[in-house]
Amino acid sequence: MVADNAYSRFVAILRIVLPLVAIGLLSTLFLFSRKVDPERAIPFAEVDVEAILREERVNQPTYTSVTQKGTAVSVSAKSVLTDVGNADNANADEIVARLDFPSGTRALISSAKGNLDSPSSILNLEGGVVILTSDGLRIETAALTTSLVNTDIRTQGTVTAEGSLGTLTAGQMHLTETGGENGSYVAVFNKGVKLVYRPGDTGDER
Amino acid sequence: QGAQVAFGGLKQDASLPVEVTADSLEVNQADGSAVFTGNVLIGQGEMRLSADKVRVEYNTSGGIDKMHAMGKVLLVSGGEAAEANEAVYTIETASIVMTGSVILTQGDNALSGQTLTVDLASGTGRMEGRVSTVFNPSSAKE
Repeated sequence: MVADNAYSRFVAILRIVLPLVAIGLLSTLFLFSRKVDPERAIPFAEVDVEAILREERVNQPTYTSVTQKGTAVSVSAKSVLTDVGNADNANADEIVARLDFPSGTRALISSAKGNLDSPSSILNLEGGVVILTSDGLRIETAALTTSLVNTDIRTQGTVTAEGSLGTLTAGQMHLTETGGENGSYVAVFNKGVKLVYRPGDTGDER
Repeated sequence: QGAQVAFGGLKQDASLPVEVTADSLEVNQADGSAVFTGNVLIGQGEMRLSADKVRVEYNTSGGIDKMHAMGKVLLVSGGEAAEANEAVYTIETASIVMTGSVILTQGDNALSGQTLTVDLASGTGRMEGRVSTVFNPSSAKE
């Protein structure tokens, strides 16, 4: 094939150059390797692994039981940390305890911090505790202790309560359960009680 | 027979806040009762009612309907004072019914009977049952 004119010569050159360029492009797919960074590939949390192992921290624990008089108790917390020295003692935070009484009344106790003493199954709640009952009673106090075996809640210091009865302040409160099938709670406020009741509203101005 | 007496003489607004102070209060949700015990003092406006024990009775909407005071009940309002064994104070109607050897003292003279019904709103009272009056001659001149 005599390439006598320019165009044919041009096409003949292209027939050689173009495949070479193609092979070159193809090779960049494999020959130029990207530096793969193994660290970046797997994202993992920065939490210190040894700390988790040493601390024996339990997250979102829940504890449920029924008291002798038939009240269902369920306690849950954000996390529980057992004391390193004394395994019987555990600190928990953001605790919510729920009491379901046989009569259907319900009480919800929430507190910022708490401490569980397992042998005596006493839960000490502190850092501001709020008790809400399903019949519209709201009790607030700084700290209280509650037993997990039977309903026995005692506040450490003064307590304020609000409900259809009006607003009430007392030196101390002791809440227990009454047995029987319509068993519910009995709250005894003592050490000086002061109640203010406004006849106008029925205490639901919250 | 009965005797109409002025009591306290001033109109009392029934919607004033009621204050109760006591040594202890027991709220029993099972039977819905609330009992104040230990030198209980109920105050509303000018009226003071003190007793050993007061049981609160709720009305249907959950508010306080009646207060049933027992044990050395003493009612003081304005210039008058009345003692009795028991008293029932109904908040809406602002009326107090005192029963059991009631003694009402007004200034120097005293009135005793079986039941005393006091209407705080109109400041009047009505004593019934073997009413007898101790009239103090010295105050007869006024």
